[in-house]
Amino acid sequence: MTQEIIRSTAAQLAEKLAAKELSAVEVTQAHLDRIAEVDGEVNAFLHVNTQEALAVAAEVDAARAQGEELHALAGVPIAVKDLIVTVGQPTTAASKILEGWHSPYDATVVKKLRAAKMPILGKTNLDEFAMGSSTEHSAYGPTRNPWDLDRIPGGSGGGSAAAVAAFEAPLALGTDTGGSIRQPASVTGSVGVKPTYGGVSRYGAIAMASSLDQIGPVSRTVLDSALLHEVIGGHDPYDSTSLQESWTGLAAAAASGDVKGLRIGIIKELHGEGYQTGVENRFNESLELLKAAGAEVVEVSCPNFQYALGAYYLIMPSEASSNLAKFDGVRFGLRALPEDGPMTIERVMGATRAAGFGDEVKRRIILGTYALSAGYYDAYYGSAQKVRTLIQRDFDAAFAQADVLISPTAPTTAFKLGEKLNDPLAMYLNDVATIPANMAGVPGISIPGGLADEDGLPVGIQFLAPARQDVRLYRAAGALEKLLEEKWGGPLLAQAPVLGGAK
Amino acid sequence: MAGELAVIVDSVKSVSEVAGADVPATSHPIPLSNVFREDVVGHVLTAEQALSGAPDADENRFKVPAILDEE
Repeated sequence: MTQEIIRSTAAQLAEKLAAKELSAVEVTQAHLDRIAEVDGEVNAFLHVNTQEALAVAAEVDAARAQGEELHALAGVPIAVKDLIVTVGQPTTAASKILEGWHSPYDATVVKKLRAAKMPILGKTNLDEFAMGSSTEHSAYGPTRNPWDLDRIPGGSGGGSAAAVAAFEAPLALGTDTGGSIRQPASVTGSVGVKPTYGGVSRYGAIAMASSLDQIGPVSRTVLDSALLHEVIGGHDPYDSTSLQESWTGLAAAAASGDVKGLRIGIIKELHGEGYQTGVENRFNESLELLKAAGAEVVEVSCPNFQYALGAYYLIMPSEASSNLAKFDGVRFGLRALPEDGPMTIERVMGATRAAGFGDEVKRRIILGTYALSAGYYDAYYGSAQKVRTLIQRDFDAAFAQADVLISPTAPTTAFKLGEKLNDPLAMYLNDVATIPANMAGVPGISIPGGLADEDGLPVGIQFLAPARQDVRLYRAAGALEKLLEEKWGGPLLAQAPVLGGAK
Repeated sequence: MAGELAVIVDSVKSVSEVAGADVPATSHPIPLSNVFREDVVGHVLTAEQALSGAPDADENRFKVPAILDEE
């Protein structure tokens, strides 16, 4: 029974809960049992929220027994990336500087989960302050890829992606600044969506780069992400960059599975050289399936995307260095005292940040303060902002020729733990195909595209749509998912190795 | 770390050569104009909540180490 529950999609669980074939307590307990069984190996969770999750589930069951009207996802459990603040559970951002810290308020997305009565299973691991592409920069140890425990689960949202891929949760929340939802989805054979910038409130997501950060859904199917997107999306007066849009029709688009007449643009600059052969093969296979299903595939060129990575590594650290100034050892989190000398605030701050931040965080703070410093500002930060304009223009031109764009999500499949840890530039290259969307604020999705021939590991296919047209992502991705699953005879994750001795 | 930083800075240098003076800078991905709301008190944290994570507090205030050195 437990196996059947944990392998169900969120949509299937919602149906069975509504039909009273399953209780919310049963569903939640099955996932908590799964976490207890496999998370010692996977390390997707930094905190497991057993009591509260079961209490919410019991509330759902009682309400349902009373005949109360409930949200469609009521009783469907979810995991939350530990960058998003929650009352009643610690929030660490996977940093020592926030070890044991409890937020006095809930993020808006968490309030929405509570309103829908979705039990929160716990908080998932990430690269410290979401800075990284492998979850190896967590202060609490790396998360491991359920497909191969010696490999990275992607990052920064490796915990959320691994949790859904290891059947520890049907749904999770992630945050995506340069690919932190989509790249982990790609390397774990799961689904991840970065909504249009401003489409989901960022209130309560600990900020890394405010003009790039976006909260979004993580799941095993396109429909499940759409259902979750409809829960968390919408205007929030607590986020000054929040859009007025309401997000409906996403699940219907995901279920429609129709791409007839849809114009799909292949981005010339985001495949080919630098992309693993197996990634390229699966990408081409998806294109053939889409063409056969009636999509019109065209090639588009985005020449300025080659500068996106460089511009990103100026804008992101600049904003991060400013956002992380609040960790001063006074208002919250760690306070470390200097070993000797006067106990002035400046020296206490220095000691606190030296002890509390990991290397990647320090690296980005140093880069950011350098890029923003007098005399360098125009050459670095100012130029990067201009590149951002050029990237937006490239997108505008591409979307004049195509309804959605397509590319591999990441240049390679999952690499080995430790392989790129001492080479920051090689690590940064993982996000080369996902960063342009954040620079322009457009939405993107990654779905499983099959396994690479050379290593048998998952490959991700990315769709991008114009700002505010998230619905197109779900239409295109829902269709490709259906075509691929027909070919495979089931979901890709059914082919993943069995974890934890489960039969 | 100094060596790594030099490599990273070198790799992002090309950015300063791409865009000419005629290209405007983009600071925000989706252009929005400011809106105003009525000046009413919304949800605010209590002093106790705000201080709940502070390493040191006294009489409903954050306790800060000395700002100035004695010398």
